[in-house]
Amino acid sequence: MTSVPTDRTTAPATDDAMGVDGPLLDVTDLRTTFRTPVGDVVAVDGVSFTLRRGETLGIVGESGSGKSMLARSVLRLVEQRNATVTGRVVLDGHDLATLSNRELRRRRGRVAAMIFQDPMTALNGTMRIGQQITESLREHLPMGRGERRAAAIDLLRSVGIPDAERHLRSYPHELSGGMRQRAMIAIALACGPKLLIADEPTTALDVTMQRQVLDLLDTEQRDRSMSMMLITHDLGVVAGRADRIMVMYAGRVVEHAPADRLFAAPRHPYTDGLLRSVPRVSDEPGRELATIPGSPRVVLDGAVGCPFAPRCDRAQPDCLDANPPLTPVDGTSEPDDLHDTRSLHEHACWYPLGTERGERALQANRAAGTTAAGLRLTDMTGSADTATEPTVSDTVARSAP
Amino acid sequence: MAEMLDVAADQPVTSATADAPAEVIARRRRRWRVTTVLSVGWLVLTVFAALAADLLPLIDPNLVDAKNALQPPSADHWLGTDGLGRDQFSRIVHGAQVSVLVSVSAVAVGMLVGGMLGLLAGYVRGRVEGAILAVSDVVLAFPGLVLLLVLLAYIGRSLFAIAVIVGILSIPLYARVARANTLSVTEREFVRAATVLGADRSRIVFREILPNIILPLTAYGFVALGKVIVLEGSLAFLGLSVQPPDPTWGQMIADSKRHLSDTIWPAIGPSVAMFLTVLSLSLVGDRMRHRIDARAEAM
Amino acid sequence: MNPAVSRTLRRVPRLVLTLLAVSFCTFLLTNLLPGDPALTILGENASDEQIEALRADLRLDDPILVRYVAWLGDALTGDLGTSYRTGQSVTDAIIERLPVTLELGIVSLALSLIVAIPLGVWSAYRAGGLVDRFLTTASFGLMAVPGFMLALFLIIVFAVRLGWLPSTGWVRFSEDPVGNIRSVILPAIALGANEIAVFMRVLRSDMLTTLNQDSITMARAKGLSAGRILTFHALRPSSLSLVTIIGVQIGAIIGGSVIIETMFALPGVGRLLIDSIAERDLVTVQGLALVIGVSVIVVNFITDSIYGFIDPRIRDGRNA
Repeated sequence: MTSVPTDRTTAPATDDAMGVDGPLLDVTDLRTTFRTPVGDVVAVDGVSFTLRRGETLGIVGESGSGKSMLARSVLRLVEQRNATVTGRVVLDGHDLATLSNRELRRRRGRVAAMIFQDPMTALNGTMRIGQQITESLREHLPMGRGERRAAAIDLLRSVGIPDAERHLRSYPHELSGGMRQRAMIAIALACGPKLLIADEPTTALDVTMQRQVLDLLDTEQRDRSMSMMLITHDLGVVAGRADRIMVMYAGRVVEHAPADRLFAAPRHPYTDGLLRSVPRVSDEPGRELATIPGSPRVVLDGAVGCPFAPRCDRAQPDCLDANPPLTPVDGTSEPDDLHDTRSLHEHACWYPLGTERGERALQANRAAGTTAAGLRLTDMTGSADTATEPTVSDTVARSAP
Repeated sequence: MAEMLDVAADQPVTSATADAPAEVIARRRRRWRVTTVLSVGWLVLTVFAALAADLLPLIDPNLVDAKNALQPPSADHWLGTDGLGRDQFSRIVHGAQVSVLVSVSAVAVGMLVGGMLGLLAGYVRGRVEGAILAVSDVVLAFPGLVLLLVLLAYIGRSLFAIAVIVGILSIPLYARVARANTLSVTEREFVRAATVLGADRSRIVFREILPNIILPLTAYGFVALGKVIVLEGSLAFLGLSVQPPDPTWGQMIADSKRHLSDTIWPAIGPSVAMFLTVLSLSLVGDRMRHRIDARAEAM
Repeated sequence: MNPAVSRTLRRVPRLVLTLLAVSFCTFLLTNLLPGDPALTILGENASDEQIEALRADLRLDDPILVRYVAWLGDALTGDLGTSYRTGQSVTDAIIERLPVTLELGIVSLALSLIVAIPLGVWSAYRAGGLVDRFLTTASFGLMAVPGFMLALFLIIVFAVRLGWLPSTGWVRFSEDPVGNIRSVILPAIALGANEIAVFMRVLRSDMLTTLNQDSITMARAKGLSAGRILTFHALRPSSLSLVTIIGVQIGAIIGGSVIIETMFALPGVGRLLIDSIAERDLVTVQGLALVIGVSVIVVNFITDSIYGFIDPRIRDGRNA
């Protein structure tokens, strides 16, 4: 495996220099809702972002934060009968909403490809690996049988599967977990996509495999100058790999910043909580990892207030009344060119970290021993008990993974 | 018969509504309620007809009136007359007797014996279970109808023989349903707790397990009732059901075949009666299974 | 060795045991009845000499196990005895009629699968839609129509009223291929209609599960067409239950063919069974019971073995 480049900021620049104009992916106000018996569940809530060619965007959030649904919504893969997806997705210059089904299909797999969390369930267990690669090639590229086979062997080799010719004839269950994930990557890369959406690509793997697979994704991305949406619940995965990071909570983007900025100076309390829960090498031994109290809940359409407020140690009365919009941090300024978001740092919080206002709110809550949402603060690290909250029924939770 | 029933036994009913949006679910529930009410209503009517057929002010079902043969429905003969001028409506009402009697007694025999054996197999396990399963495999190897025909050929046919043989032949099916449910019940917490606490065996079987397998068996029994009614009809068609002139629905449909080129009226009445009865039984059985599934999920 | 093959071989001893048990039960049929089997077989009007001859022929004075072994030996060499009614060898009688029943069964199974698979797939693909709800309701209705009733109405409509197809009779394929097809259509539909509903419901429920899996999202993300996804990525993993049910329903088809052959006056095995029962030709009945029982067991064994070839995971012993 090649080593990971630590400085990723140079990579996108070279691509821009290649003369391709506009970002590869431009998403505006993407919104995905599910109609359920208890109301409309908002899985993705007005998400906008752009992705330049060759760039890696990390999308981070706990399970249930809407990040996987965002990935599926981008490629218009949400097909449940009770789902509604609105918003604009421009992929490589084409608004996906205006494309016919056929044209949309031509782009899936060819322009944008996707890999999933668990290759055991995402690969077709009744089809040989080779066939699963060549069927994409057959669908999208004018290749003969022999060429497809040769291409498939090359692909398997490039993702580091030994004895590629033999493994063309393997079924997914005959491979080890790491090999299966490599095979899935090979399938996704088959038609040379410009965008790879990796949805929790390493969650199902053990730690050493995780590292190898992430390195493989890095190498492939650089070799093919692909853009990548790297979706994970683990900030450690995107550290050093993503150019920018979007933190999601309850279907909304709560913070969006260049990776180094986000790690150095997070603004949103949720980002801060996620960062504190990641173990670091620099930690003194025995340091207790912080946890964010409670768990994300499903947000129904029309809900008021900041969705994170019930779990937030800064929550004030106005947090319960109004949902904070995504606003740029002072100093990063709104760029004139909307597509140039390289230095933009945005957050959605009334009382962000690193501001006087935010710190005052925290102090006030600590002094009171409780937040406006009724969360009891027990000590300085922020670990706390949640007050009992009415939870939305299971059916809702299931409809909005 | 055996293999037709088999499908119902082996297929766990997956909820058809699992992925449907809310309104559809709600709409479907309402629709179900209407069909369930209608089904139960028809079944009650059928049972009533069977019980009260001889008391009702009906034309004698065996009264031959050759001059008025093959009449279409009229004020005198609501559903017309058959090839011998007998009143179709009266014959259908009387025919319900055979359908109800044969199906209920066959299902009762099968359910009681099969249920007990299945419970025994599922609770005692070991050799008892092995033996019960082995015998039921052999019985189920034969197509039910063929076995029934063969046995009728040797034993001779009568209403009683049909009911008993069908009942006996269906024992393995009920045994399988009962065993499967017993196995799942004994794994549940409360039964394990009772066992660990040293509750005596008969108490566990009768108070804990039995109530939990009666419902699935009954749901299955409803579908089976329909199958037995069809089976009697098939036998009538083959000329192997009860002897004429006593009416059965199957016999009436079979008779109508002779007059097909003249009129189809004699076929309609009994066909509709049998269709509605079988449909109602399967709808009610299906509804019960959905309820049971929902309850099992909630536990 | 191919794992699917060795899995099949492992199940052979059990198959043999079941076959033995079934043959023994069939054998017992004539022997457990009260009274003299010879008298039962020949009927009340038989003369003493006839009865004596039959007793010797059946070796009724030997112990029951000895007689079973002798009978089984004969059966294995293709000798199922001779009908005392017609004087014809039972084996010959069955072989003569087998093609009719086989053709009827295969055509009806094929017809019902051709109809049921697309409907089941579509129903699951557009679950909750208008077509799905209609099909679900219709399948309940279809299951409530007995084969003989459907046969009757098919005859009324297509033979009596429209006169398109014959209502009774059989034309050999070798004599007149078109006539053969015409004579098999109505019986095959009557025999297979119930199976359509059964197959469709089983396939629909399995497809629903499969369609919710990541592999389908993955296939869609690859840009494959709906048709390709449904056939290659959804249908194959969903066809396991269908194969089992087909095996189970073979018994229903054989049972149903007895009625359908009688209704349409087809000279098949089912008709032979009914005729033999009517004439109390017990030797033929016994032979038929053996042949039918063995066929059903063997067909079920084969469908169970097909499993391993459809799903490689099962073939290799996972999820098995």
